[in-house]
Amino acid sequence: MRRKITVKGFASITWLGLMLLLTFYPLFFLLNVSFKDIGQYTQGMLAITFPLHFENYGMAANMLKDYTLNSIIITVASLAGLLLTASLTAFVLARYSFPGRNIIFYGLIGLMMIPSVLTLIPSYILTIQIKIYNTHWAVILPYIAGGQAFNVFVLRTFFQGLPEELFEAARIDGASPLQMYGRIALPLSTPILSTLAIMHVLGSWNDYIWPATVLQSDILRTVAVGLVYLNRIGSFPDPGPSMAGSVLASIPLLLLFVLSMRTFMQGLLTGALKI
Amino acid sequence: MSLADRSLKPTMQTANRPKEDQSLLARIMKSKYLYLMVLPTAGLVLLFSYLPALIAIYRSFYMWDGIRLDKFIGFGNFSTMLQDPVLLESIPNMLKLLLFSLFITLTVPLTNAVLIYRLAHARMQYWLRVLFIVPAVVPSVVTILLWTSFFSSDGLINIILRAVGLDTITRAWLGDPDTALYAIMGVGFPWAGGLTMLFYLAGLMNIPESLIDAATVDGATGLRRFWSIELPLIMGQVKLFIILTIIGGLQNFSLPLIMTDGGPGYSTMVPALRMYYAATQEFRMGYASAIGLVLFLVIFGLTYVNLRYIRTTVEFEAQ
Repeated sequence: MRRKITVKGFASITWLGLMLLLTFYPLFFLLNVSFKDIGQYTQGMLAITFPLHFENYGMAANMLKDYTLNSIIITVASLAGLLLTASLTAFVLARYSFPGRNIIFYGLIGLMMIPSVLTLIPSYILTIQIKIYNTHWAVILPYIAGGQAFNVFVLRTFFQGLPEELFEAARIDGASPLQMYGRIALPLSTPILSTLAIMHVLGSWNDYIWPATVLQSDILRTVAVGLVYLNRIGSFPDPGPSMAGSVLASIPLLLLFVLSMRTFMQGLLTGALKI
Repeated sequence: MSLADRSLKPTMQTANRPKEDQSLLARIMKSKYLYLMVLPTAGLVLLFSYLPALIAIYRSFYMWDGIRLDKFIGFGNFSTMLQDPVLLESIPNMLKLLLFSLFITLTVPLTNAVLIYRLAHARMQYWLRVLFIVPAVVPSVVTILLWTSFFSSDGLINIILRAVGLDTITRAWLGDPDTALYAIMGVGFPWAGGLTMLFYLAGLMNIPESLIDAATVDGATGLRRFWSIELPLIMGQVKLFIILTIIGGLQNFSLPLIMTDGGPGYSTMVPALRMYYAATQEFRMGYASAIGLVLFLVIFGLTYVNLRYIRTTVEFEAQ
């Protein structure tokens, strides 16, 4: 019996190890090629070759730096806007009763039933009509809007769970709803906000189709869009700098992952509930 | 989603509930700051989510280029869809991709989750979870570009094939109409599915230990334990991922968009990409809206059928 379990355990570990190996090999390949010049690439694509060409990274960084800045602007602005507006709404919906509250709540929840494929084309035309097409606003504002349903839902549940006693004293002192939100509710919600923040950053940094659709000028492109664009028009002289660019585009999120692993995994799990 | 307002705890206003004789207008005036706090959300959502959805439905009945051409044609766009050879060709492609991803969702990540769950070593469990998640953090365009290079004529796939003596079948995998669709399926091999796996694993870890112990005492091990205990108890997650995979399969088109443009020919065209090109290249906004509407109705119908199962998941998570 004991022996059988060990054999099974060994088989599982072998299977999982093989899975990990196959999963990580492409990433290793990417990293390996990112240090090669064209000669090393054609003669030994798979081997680790020396010298390592760090200048590939210099070249890629130079080509991607403006795109990266655009991604940072869009991600930070939409993140701040999303968390601020969603938490305000969630707080009001969770702690107050007023005419129209349920309409607003169900109006937001109903949004989860609208798939992006329905709204993609009209949204694209809308950005042209309200004259934000080909500006960063055309990405930032729809990102803020698109995150409302899920973020309000999660935050409302959180704010509902806060004990009423926390707010009682402030209410007796005549604090306004805004003051109670800013001084009591918001400081308590840092963990849930960071979970939601990580999900949003992951989504906005990686998104391709929407920014590719509404950002026409090269100087506005995000790093995901710019990276694909440079590869498609053949801007990279050879595979080395191209793959160095891919590595560079991956670094910010990998860094975020390493620095906040637990919050990150929590965020991913929370995000899986999102439809 | 299914959590209705009945779960609402007594809120502060219920404590000093407005007297019944207060008119609606007075109550609205009293809450004016609350409306102000909700206003940004409401405005953004109305403008960028509800308005586009309404435009999509409305414009489905128009011949419309987004600028000048603007003509009501009834169900014209829908009958055009039935005669659009590109769209018709794209449907089997989508179904093949969808069936493949459903198959993957139900096999590899589930197997991995169960195997990790059964490891006795808690520390190893944790690190395996972390490691399997890493690829999910890599931007999807990086993964797509990398696999595009693997499938090129001098890429990794052909190098491996030559190394094992299969020179005859080497080719530019994405450039051959016979193989392009299968190459797209190959992206992300071995499809360990970090996120799906993580979610299955979270479900497994929610199973009360006493249940597993009881089953073990009764001699349920190995496959038996999987079919009788583990799978039934994470059915909520499984069903949720079936729905998410179907929704994703119907509306995602970034892989063919980036890797093949739907080609060669229309061998990797999918309906959502056909919609995208109808709008962005042919400026047939009304027609594109109609395709979007049909895809939405299909998604809505399938989700409605499965709504029961989503509720199961949420309740299970809430425990």
